[in-house]
Amino acid sequence: MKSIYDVTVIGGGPAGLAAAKGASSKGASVLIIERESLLGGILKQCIHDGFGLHRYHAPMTGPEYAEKEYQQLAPFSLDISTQTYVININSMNDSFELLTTSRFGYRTIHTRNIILATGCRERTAKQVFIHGSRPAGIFTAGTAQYYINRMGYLPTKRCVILGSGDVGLIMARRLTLEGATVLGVFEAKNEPSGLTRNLHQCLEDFDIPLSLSTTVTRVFGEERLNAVEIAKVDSSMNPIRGTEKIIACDGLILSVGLIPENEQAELINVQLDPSTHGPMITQDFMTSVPGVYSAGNALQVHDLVDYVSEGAECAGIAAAQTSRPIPMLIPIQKGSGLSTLVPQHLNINLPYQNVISYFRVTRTYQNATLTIYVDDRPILSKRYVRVRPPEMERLVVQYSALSEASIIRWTLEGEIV
Amino acid sequence: MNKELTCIICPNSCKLSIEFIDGEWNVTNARCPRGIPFAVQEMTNPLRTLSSTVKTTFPNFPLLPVKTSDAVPQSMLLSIMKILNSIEVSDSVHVGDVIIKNVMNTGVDILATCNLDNPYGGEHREAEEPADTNI
Repeated sequence: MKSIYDVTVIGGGPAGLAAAKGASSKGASVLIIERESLLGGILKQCIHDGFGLHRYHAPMTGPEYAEKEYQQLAPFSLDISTQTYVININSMNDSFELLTTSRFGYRTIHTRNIILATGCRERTAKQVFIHGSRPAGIFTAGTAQYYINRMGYLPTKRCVILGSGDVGLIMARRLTLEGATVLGVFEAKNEPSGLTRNLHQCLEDFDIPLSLSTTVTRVFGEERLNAVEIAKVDSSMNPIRGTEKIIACDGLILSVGLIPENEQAELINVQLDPSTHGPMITQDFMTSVPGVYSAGNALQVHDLVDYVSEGAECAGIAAAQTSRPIPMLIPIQKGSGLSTLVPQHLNINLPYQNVISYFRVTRTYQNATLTIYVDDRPILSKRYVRVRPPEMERLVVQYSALSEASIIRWTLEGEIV
Repeated sequence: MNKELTCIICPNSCKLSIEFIDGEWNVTNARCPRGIPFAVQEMTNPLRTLSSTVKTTFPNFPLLPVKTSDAVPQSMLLSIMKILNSIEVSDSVHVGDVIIKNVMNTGVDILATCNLDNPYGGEHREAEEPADTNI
């Protein structure tokens, strides 16, 4: 235990591990605080394949990826506190005081920089307004995944899945392989949220029907769920009267979206972006509070862990810098066609020749062109055969000759599918 | 019989159309040549990698995640699941260790994808020593 750390990473999942590696590689003294007893975060229960294709050029399962990331820390001497939770943060002059709780009681930790790598949380039944009683048998996809993959419990024998996000699709396959019957996946939107690959290999392979523009409107059951009511929805997502159907089942799995977790960020008034629900950052992953950085799913929900690790490592390297220039921020404006854009600002007192940027589109486009303008002059134009909202796009942008009066704007135009 | 299939080789997601004509698979709507062998494989013998878990005797880590070392025929997934659900691991295996050799004569092994010996570094208590500032 050090009297003061250069960098404290809150969260020991993929973002936290890569951030700790980045900071350690630059010689910083690093502490990782993790609330679970083991590092690795959600990867521990993501036993399916497909991680690491970008970062390690080989397909791996979540546990393998987590182990590989943990081993990257081997050359460094850093402190790790598991089963520890940050309950308060105080801003001091040029440093922070963290109040933590653990098996050993309350403790204060001093740190010069913080990396928020707290991940995201699943939306729950309460947040999607399902009416009815409160029986057992309603799980978020991640909870069902934890029961099956970590504990060895099968939480349902006959279930329906609400939401076509990737975790929901992967759970449809997993439940089927373990002997449960998945009666159907229902998606309120008119297009699936998950990756095409998962629609193919998780649903079509097992003849699991996918119903679009359909939602679960009610749940039935006293102690245990015994049925759900589904209904078609109109274009504004309101259930259409007369289309209701009752489906007998003992499980309802919710895969209805993820929200970045920023409870700790809010303690120190980090400014959040309403479109990503995560902190606004500059190209070095620093938030609006100097010395506080954000990475991984706390920053924005990613669909590839490889990009989580890449960004978090950059955040770690930036947080380890001993001197920091005075920020001079210019906004990166999000024009038509884009629903999220990170980073939200450029600090022109830092290098901006290779800015790793991420965006999502508002709807599916084909033959689309992304254009980046600086003062109405296009500096980059990229063609996309097809872009879909569930797939986050990554782009490294070379900006040049910016001043504090520069206006940066990104737009995307294409054929609507 | 004409079958529609979304290609998953790249993000273009071509909507392939496959037809069996005169003893040959005829694939249309593929924007690149990689879609054709994919479609034929999918129609004749689709292959999948399988990930699952097997029971362990370790009370703190009751399940070991595993995967097939290579893709296996999709039609065999449920039979392989039965085998995986019938075994128990009591050794401190490591990532990549063979749990079942040549499962169901596929030539494919079942591999551990996690360490049972100190997974992810195990619990970290060293930083939990009494700190300089207790409140």
